[in-house]
Amino acid sequence: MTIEAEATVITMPVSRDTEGDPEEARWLVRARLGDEAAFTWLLNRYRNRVIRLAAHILRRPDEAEDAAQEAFIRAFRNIRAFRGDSRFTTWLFHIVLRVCLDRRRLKRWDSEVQWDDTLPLSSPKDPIDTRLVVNALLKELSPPLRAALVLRELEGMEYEDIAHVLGIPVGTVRSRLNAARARFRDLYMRVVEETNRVQ
Amino acid sequence: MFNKVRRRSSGSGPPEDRQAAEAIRDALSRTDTPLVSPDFNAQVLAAVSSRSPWWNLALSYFQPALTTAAASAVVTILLINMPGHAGNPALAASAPAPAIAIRREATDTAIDDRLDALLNSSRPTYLAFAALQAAPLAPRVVPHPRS
Repeated sequence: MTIEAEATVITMPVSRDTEGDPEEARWLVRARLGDEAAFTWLLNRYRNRVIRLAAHILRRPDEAEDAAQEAFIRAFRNIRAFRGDSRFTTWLFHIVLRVCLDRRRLKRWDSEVQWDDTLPLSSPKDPIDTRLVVNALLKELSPPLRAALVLRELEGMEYEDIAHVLGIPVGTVRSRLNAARARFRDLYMRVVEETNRVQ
Repeated sequence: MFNKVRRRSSGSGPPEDRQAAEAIRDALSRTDTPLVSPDFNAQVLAAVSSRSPWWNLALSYFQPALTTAAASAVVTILLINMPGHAGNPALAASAPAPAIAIRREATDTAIDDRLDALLNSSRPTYLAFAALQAAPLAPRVVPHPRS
């Protein structure tokens, strides 16, 4: 029996994510059968987003790729455990978070590095480089909260999905993200005041 | 951008949250993503397709039973080797202490040695000893304490 034929036999629950993306749903069915082409398709689709998320959680760009690979390997080996109850990205990002937190617990884990040291400080259009402010903000946040911020602001995920990824209540996600934004405003205002004083 | 909004609105309302969110989003999106090595996909696919050796699978299957058996064996050995079977209070109470047992054995040996020496001694002495054993004991006169 060919993979395509088998794929039609196996029924997979339709998730909120895949119901709007039938192509991904088809590839996921094939991935559950161990089809390498399906794995490659998923890798190409989510590789950069997974690496970016891992880099923000770990704040170690050099470790991000290894963590992303480990997360994909874990996900593909356990792809049958994905029942479609949630979005595939929710399930995948949860694995990424677990992998990153496990890595931070290892003895060989040194510390975070200054990620944005090489970035230009400011541009004529934007005298206050918000990247530096966000960098300072991320440094203050715990790894799961960094993940929440990235998932919300970069991935555009709903609070419910972020709560699933983090394994905490939705209200907690909402309040912590609001606190993070408030902290960002404070940091930004301090930078503005400091800049005005120097000028 | 952000400070102007702050001046217009008092407190922390939704417009400020939106401004902050947009600023964070903008900054995060402009942060460079780490470079991906060209064989990223190949490494993942190779790791996923590699099968575990049969002994790993067998070990993982029988691991709970093996762990329980090993733990039981260790506990049993410890209990058996414990002095006085400390695991059983009744046994521990009835068993003689080692020092007392050694002293009793030494006393028995000494008595046996003395008796052997006595029997092997000269005949008169033996006969006297025999007579002494055969003769009834004379009533012992106990003096009155006041006399």
